[in-house]
Amino acid sequence: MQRDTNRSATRDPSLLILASLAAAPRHGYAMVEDIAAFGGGRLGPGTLYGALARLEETGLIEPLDADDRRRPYRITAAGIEVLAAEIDALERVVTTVRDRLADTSG
Amino acid sequence: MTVLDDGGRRPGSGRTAGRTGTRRTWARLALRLYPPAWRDRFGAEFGALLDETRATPSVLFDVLVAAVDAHLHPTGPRRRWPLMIERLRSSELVVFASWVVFVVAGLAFQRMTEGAPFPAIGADQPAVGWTYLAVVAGAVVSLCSVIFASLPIALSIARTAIATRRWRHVGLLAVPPVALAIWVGLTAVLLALIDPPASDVARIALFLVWVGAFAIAAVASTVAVSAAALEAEVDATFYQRAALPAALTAAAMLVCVGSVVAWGVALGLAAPSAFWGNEGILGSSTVLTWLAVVVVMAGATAIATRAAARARSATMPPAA
Repeated sequence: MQRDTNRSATRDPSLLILASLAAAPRHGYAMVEDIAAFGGGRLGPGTLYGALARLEETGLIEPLDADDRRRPYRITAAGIEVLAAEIDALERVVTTVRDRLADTSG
Repeated sequence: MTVLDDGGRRPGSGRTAGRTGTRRTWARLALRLYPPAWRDRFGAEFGALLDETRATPSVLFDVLVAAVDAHLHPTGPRRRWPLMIERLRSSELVVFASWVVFVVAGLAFQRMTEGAPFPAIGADQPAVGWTYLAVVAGAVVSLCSVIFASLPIALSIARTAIATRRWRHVGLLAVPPVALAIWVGLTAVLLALIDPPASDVARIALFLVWVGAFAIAAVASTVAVSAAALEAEVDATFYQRAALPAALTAAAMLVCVGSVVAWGVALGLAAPSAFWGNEGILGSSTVLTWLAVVVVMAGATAIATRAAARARSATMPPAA
């Protein structure tokens, strides 16, 4: 089966945004490029801003002062906690699946 | 703090000016799909991103779906704020519109009772006289309450409209005074036409024109003021302050309609010949005119009372 290289590692745009902002504050276009670069797929502008609005509302990210029309966002302490918890959960899933695959092939 | 950019890769750089112009056009069009509150918060930065994004079919679909979602599920830190304003505003506009309908019915009652034999009956029969005065008192209180509730909001809308050059809002607010001026002018013309005693048919036709013009002016004014209030951004405190006068308006309407009912009952007991006779508008049945007035007033009052209660129950968000 041919592997779709454009396919996201995860389909959750909120998690991808948090992962992108974990490195440094970024504005919308920089987030899209960064997420595409680390294999999260290319988020559409509507998807990106829908997720940004929800993340801002829940206090997981916060806006910084706009540079011209571009407004950077940064992850908050609550956002880092959520991201860490999500990554832990993903790791458990990955570990479990990897063990099962190993058992199957072994 | 370092804000990471896109590594110098700007998709627009090196492209033709025509393509950039096309992107800006599609970005402006796409932004119009989103709710005003969302555009206020995210419009500039979202527009900047759209300027840098190729309008492929998948991107267009993504923006379209997200716009629908923004309408269906308002998000962002201002979500509770506009919803609360909207609830207050819509409730108070319903009170205002109900009051306008109530006034139309009240004018019909006034028109019926201002002529013979009612003033004489009111003077002779205290129950009829006092209930009539209660109607007048309720009407005055409701008018004052409406002015107290709506004037600060109207002035705020007008101030903002002039400052931001939103002439459409100024035009909408100008509808009530202009409509009133036209109606007063029409009244003067109709009075001049009636001055040489006209036939009964002509008098009825002119009266219907007069009433119809008033109804059109009332509807146009209500729609225009409501549209201005819905489109303009007014500080929520104005709507919060208007909640109490709106409740007072509904209470005054309740007093009025109760007094009109009591007036009819008192008239029926004190002067049955007038009550069962044809002293209504345009020589119609008194009791039918009275009943029609009561029904319209009661309906408007019920709607206004429910809306006023809804406005009072709307809570303000905590101070930021």
